[in-house]
Amino acid sequence: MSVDPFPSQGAFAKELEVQFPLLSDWPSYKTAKDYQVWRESPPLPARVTYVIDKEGIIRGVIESETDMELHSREALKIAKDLA
Amino acid sequence: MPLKVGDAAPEFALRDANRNKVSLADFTGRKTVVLAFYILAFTPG
Repeated sequence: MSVDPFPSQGAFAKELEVQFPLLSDWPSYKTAKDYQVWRESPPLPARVTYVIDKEGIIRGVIESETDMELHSREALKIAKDLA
Repeated sequence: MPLKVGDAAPEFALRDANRNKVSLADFTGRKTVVLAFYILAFTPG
């Protein structure tokens, strides 16, 4: 999910050929705020990945501004453990 | 500070690039959800 408007999300999804939804939190940024990843200065979300189980409980929180591999690797690991 | 392990995930209802609504409730009781916040399209990660 990002704070992009829909047109840029669509172009990005097409370029990546993604198989999962890219969601837009624009223009209210409510979800980023609810998940406490919103920063006011600069007004952008932190790079955080959550893994949420079937009951709606958070089972994983991955935080790194620089290591994007870590996000996918850890999220996949936690999701597999929950399966 | 982000939410913590064990916290209840806040409900969300957002639209995807095709304007279809996607909410957390769509997956409750059915699937694990990976929710990744990233900054802007065309940026790595």
